[in-house]
Amino acid sequence: MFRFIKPVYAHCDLPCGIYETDTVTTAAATCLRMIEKIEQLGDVSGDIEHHNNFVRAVHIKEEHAQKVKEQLCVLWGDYFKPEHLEKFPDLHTTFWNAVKQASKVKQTVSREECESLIEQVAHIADMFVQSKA
Amino acid sequence: MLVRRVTGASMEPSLYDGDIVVARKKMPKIGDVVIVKVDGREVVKRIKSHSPTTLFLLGDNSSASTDSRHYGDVPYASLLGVVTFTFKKKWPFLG
Repeated sequence: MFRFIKPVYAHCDLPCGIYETDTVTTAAATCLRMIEKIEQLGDVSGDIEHHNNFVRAVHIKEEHAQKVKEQLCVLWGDYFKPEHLEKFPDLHTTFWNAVKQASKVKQTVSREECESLIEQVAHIADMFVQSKA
Repeated sequence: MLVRRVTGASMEPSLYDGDIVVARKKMPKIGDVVIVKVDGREVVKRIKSHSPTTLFLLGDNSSASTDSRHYGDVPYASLLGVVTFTFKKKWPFLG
């Protein structure tokens, strides 16, 4: 339907080649902040407002952990190239573990698991900087 | 008045592929969705900022958008219209 109407383009014309690690770093930090909020809320069973905030915090943690996974996969699959393996021989394991760690952050409200994710993401951000050097 | 059919995902969630937009010639302001001609092609984007003679345009779906981050500021003369009405191909609340 409406094929006769002239198109106006809202495209990404080509892979833009612009990559960054700020988004993944911020998303991982957001997960930790949400875990802190969940801890602060404590038992929310008796208070509907607290319960609402608890659900929101869990939802945001889930959303940002997913964002971490997506951003990692873009960096891993699109930015890093086979030639980077020479400089970073454990590149695949590093990304694989970090993506799995993001899943652990979804599954738990563990500060330790989230701090581990932040460390792994920081290591990847460092690899990203080094790869451009 | 311009009537155009959106193709692509760079303006999601404001505009989806297949939506119909109506644009009019009027003075644009920051935040308006506009139709401009870039490299001979009509594109739909949102005004992020402007100077007296140029517009800086971004797609709402930044990870899937080619916009002023890539082709730079767009001269005012390229502005074809400001989107004033949208016919959604699919209303979200209708599923």
